Amino acid sequence: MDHSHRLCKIVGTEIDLPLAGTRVFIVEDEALILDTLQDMLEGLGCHVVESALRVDEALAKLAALDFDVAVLDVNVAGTRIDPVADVLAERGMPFLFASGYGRGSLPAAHRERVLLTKPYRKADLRAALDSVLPQ
Amino acid sequence: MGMPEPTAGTASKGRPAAVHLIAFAVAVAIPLLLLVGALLYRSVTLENEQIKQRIGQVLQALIADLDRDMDRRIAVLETLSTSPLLLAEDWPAFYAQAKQGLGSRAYLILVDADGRQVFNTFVPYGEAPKLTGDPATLQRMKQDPRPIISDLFTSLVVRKPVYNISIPVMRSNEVRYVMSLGLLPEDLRALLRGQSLPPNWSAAIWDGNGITMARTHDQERLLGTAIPKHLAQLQPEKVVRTTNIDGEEALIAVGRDHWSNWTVDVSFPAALVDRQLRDSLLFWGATMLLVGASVVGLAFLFGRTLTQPLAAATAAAGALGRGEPFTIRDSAIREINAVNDALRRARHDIDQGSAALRDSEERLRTAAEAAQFGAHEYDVIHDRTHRSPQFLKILGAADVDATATFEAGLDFVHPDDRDVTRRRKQRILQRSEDRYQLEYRICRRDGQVRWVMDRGQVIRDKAGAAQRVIGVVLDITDIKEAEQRQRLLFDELNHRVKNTLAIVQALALQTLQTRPQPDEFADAFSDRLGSLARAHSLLTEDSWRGASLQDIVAIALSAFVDEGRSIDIGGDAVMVPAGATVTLSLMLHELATNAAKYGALSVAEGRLAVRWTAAQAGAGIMVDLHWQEDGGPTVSPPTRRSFGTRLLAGSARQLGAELDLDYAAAGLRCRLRFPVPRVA
Repeated sequence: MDHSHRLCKIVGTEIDLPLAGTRVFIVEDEALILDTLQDMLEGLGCHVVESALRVDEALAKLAALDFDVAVLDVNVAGTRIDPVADVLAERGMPFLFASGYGRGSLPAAHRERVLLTKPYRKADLRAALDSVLPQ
Repeated sequence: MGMPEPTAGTASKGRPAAVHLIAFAVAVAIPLLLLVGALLYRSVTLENEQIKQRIGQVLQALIADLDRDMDRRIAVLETLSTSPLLLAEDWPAFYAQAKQGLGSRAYLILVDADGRQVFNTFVPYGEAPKLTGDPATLQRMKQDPRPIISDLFTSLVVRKPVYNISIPVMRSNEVRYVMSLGLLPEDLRALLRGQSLPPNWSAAIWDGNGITMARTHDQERLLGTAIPKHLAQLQPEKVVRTTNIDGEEALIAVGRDHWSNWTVDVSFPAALVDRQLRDSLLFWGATMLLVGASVVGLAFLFGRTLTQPLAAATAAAGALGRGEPFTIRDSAIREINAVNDALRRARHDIDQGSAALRDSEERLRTAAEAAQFGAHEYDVIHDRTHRSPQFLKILGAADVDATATFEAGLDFVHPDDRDVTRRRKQRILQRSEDRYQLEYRICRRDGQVRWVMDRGQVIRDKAGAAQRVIGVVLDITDIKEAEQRQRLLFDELNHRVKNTLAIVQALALQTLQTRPQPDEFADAFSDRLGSLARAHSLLTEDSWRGASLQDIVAIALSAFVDEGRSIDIGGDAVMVPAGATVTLSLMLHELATNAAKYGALSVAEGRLAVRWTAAQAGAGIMVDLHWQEDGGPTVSPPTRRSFGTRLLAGSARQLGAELDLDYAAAGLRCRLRFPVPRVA
């Protein structure tokens, strides 16, 4: 794991030591939201190793990817995130949902997972990551 | 709850009215007939009594006549006995005197105390037999000296049956002579005949020995014969019914004459009495039959006045019950007319009620059809459901499905909903509540899946057990689909709002990165927010289905158009989906903002052209858009990653587009190639 510190120019950001260097995989279809999420993660000291705007793109990239945690949008350009969530669960990879929908719209098998409701603050994101990542 | 059905058997109970009438007539006739019978009987008895009395009277009269006759004879004898010739015992003179006095009517016999005939006027003097032919009289006279009438005996002289009337001739208180009149039984018969008895009557006289002396008929045959013993033993003065001499049944009365041992008998043939009785009985029988027949006939006849209208009323009532029309004439009987009136009124009321009911049913049926309610009724006891035609229409079922059992009725329920629906329906039957409402899917016979609402009510008996379930079924597929669409829309709206807010948050955060100063931040952020809002307005015009590329470009650039400058906008007609509309709008706004700050739109002579083409590309359309700035200052590519750069790159990626940015000397050339789905 790369424990590099990063000084962010974003106002008020502090580096979260436990999260530092955490590799993150993002699936989000809105470019602006994806960029913002990337900024927040980098502000927390995480490293976005890959991102996907489509489910098929995500599944393809997932195959050979090495990462620590995934942040998943639920409705990705009309397609549900279920296949990706299933694969991650199968691999035992930690992940959380970030969605504009409520808990009822989560995949049935993963309804008890951590859910970030949009729009979320960086503090919310940090808490969510903390709860999902192993200690 | 319905009324119990009346038993049909009451019509066979009771007897016809005619029978009652006949019974009444018979009940009236029988006492009368019995009375008639009693009267006849009494009359017959009276007649019998009269006959008996008559017999008695005739007997008395006969005996009286006989007695008188005897008296006369005895008087004659006593007259003769005073003759001095007798006293002098001058027999020839006395003989002559006697013979002269008696003539041929009778003959005189004189017998002395020893039984020797002194003379007998029947024969010449001196030729009399030696001894008397009737010693019995002499003996009796000696014991009791008074007139004696003999029994019948055969006279030696006359050589015929005769009888004597004798008186004693006393000398010194002793019987010296017996003087008798010899008489023929024919005299007695003359006496009997002289009674002028009515025809069929007969009389007889027999002596103390029971020997017939005289009879009104058959004198010659029966003279001297003994009468039957039972007749000899008859009590005098009593009329009895017994066999007479001729062997026939007869009413007989006997009596004793005053002077003698004789018996007088008067008889009247019983056959005649019997015949009278039989005639009376026949008369009574005939009367009975006649009366009976006429009673029945009259009962029938008068009964017709009753039974015919009754039958007519019965028929009318039957027709009423069957719902058929009828006409009845009025009769002679007031009560039946009242019944007829009631029946006619009932017919009228029922017809009116039926008409009203039919109207009501018609309206209900029309309303149900208009509302497309499928009515159904389930008979719990017989496990049978009846479905209305509208119901069958909803199921897309045939007439053969009009009735079904509970289980078979679940056939049309969608397999996924079947168990739940079955359980729910069973619970409804068992619960004490009455109204229910269920929703479930059905599979129509033609395969379509539809949603139905099943509402109804359970009818229970007094014990609370379910008896019937009545309800309607309504096809609510459209409503359900609308509900689902609405849910989806709400979810979608919720998502979009959240997403939009996230986008706004992203715009704010990213603007802050390049414009940290509050004033600059406020301007830039408001600007971008405005662009977003305009893109949303454009989408709202077509219910968020999308927008035309022409409109998107025009709206995005509208803020940058000022007097004197025209922006060349044009291209093929293309519909852009909602998501891409927003992204495209933000991209165009960014390009325009840059052009206004640094590029062609920053100077008056600067020009901008936005043109595109749309070409078929597989299943969709590929849009090839060209942004061309001219006449503005030279723009160089940004050295650092700005918000605009990131936005353009990210948006292009989001659109699945190829983005080419060419910072040419004449002005920025931007080429964007992106796919859109073909709109039907």
